[in-house]
Amino acid sequence: MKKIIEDINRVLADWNPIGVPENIATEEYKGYIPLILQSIENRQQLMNCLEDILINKLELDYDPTNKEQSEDLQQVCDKLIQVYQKAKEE
Amino acid sequence: MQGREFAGGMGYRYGFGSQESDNEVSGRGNSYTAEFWQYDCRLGRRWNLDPVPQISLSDYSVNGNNPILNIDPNGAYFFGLFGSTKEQRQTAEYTASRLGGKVNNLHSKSISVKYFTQEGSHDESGLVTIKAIGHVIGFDKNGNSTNRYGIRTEYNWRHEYVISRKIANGHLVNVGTVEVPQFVATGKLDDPEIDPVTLAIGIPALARAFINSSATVAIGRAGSETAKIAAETSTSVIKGFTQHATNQAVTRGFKTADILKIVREGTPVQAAGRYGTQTRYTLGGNTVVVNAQGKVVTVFSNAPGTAKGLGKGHFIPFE
Repeated sequence: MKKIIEDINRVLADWNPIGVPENIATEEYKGYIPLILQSIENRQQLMNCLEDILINKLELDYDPTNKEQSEDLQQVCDKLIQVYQKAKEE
Repeated sequence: MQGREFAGGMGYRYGFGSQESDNEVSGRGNSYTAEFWQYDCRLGRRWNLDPVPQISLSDYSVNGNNPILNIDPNGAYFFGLFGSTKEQRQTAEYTASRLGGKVNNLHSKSISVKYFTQEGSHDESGLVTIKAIGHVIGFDKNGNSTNRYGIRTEYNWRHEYVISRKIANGHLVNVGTVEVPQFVATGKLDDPEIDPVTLAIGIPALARAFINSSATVAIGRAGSETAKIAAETSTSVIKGFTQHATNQAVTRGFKTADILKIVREGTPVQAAGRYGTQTRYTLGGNTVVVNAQGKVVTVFSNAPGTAKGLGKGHFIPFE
């Protein structure tokens, strides 16, 4: 369990949607790990969760019709699912 | 407890709290597993951090440190066996969403909802004064509520709230609507006396109110010439705090007055991120990030913290 939390945090820190310094990014998004864990089993739910974080929690300019932003979010979603599947296999 | 164990059939896989025994970890009956925890019953602690941490409890605690009164079927949330009911929780959550408030102690016996209303005004000099009025409503097992002033809110089958006041002989008198009395937080946005807790709960409500009324909360004296110019420049005006910024301000010990000082006196730098433009204000190693809409997105400092990272990014006091 500890490992999956660390791995999710690493993905979030790499994503770093606000763009804080690297050493801060490892602490910046920890609060969203429980939310992500709750929806990580379902890709659509996970996408909704990430969009909710961007739009409602961080209030950044996220536009789902923007190709670049949408692809960025899809990649994060894929990485999180990989982390989850890897943890399940172990 | 070591030395004591259930002597049922060896094929039975479950034990404490109906959770699956994990006998390969630390011997028979000493470790249990569930979706969100690995639990060591000799220590009464979990191996992993609680995925839903609570400020008042250790992240390694289980069952709210009370295995008699509380249960935790999957290791994510503990529930009071004699505590909250589903109706109580649902009504509290509904009320919180309706009022834009926050549910406290969701899984304990005493559930309450805390929310703020606010009043804003300008004095002759143009100083913006905000009065945040805090309210707390508690909910009983049937989802009805009575606050500490004897005002009762009953949630009826028509999904309406019937509000009544308890009078001296114990009878309830319907009062229709009620102004719940003030309990906390009257001050000005730049008042150094406003503490982080007030900031955490009050500012989002203030921000919502001001956004709804299309008003602008200017920093400092909005009536002064400098502030008027600043108010016309979007980057010099804070229109509110995001939920994320509020959480980080509390966690990292940034008070309202500190944030305002950084924005007012700090060095602004414009930055274009993947998700919109930002302005970053830096003062004394502290940084405040403001988005294009004028909302504070996050706060942090360059404090390195301890070797284990404690205190990293926390507020650095001004000299």
